[in-house]
Amino acid sequence: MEKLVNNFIENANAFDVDGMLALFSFDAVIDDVSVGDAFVGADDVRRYLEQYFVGYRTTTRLLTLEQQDAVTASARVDFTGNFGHETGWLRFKLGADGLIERIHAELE
Amino acid sequence: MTNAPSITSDAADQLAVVDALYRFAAGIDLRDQALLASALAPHAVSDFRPAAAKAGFDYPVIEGRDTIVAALSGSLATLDTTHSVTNARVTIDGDTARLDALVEAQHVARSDPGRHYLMKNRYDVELARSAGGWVITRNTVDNVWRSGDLTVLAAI
Repeated sequence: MEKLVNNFIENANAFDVDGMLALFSFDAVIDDVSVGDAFVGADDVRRYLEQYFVGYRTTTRLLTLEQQDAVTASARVDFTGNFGHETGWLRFKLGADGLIERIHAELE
Repeated sequence: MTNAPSITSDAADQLAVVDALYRFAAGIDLRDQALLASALAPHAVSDFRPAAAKAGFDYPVIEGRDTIVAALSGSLATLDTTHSVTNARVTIDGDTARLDALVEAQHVARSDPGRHYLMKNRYDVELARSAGGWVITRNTVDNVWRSGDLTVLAAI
């Protein structure tokens, strides 16, 4: 899980949307309570990543990683970008194929 | 032709599945680690043991995309390789797929191009449909025949 989370953050910080998308299952969901919306499926996930990571020029830094079990982990992260500075949580859940099935995102 | 979109979609998926193996092969041959990584799921498993056993050497199962990329890049650093993919047969089941293909792998010693080791391998590839396209989750490589100078592979 740690490697996958680090991969996600490395790709995010490189604004490599294709690299990030390869980590998600085709029907993955990003549920972001901060923006009040769930992004369902490959097209929506791409739109989310383009908008909130690339569009805001977001740099993500991992603060802590708590792994609940083999397929779930919660990353506390620091975001900086042209929105300012925030901290929050990315809660990852993997599917059977090892791809990200769901991210629940929320700011503190 | 009410079923045309479905046929088109199936054909596109079949091509996209084979393309993952093309990226894997070209990533090795071109020493393009990003291209090689694009073919692999984060938790991908590479099992070359059946082929290695027939060639008379041991090669461990490698797990994880980054580990596979590093291992293959390191193993083949002193060789010029060509991996030619043929006879691809694809079975798609929802968001997973199975690919059976013959891969002819030529290994030429870069420092002594007259020496080579040629392997005709059969790839049994399992794939998943990621949000960014099809990626390999497991690749099991068996060997059908081999010829040449095995010591070319001594470095791996």
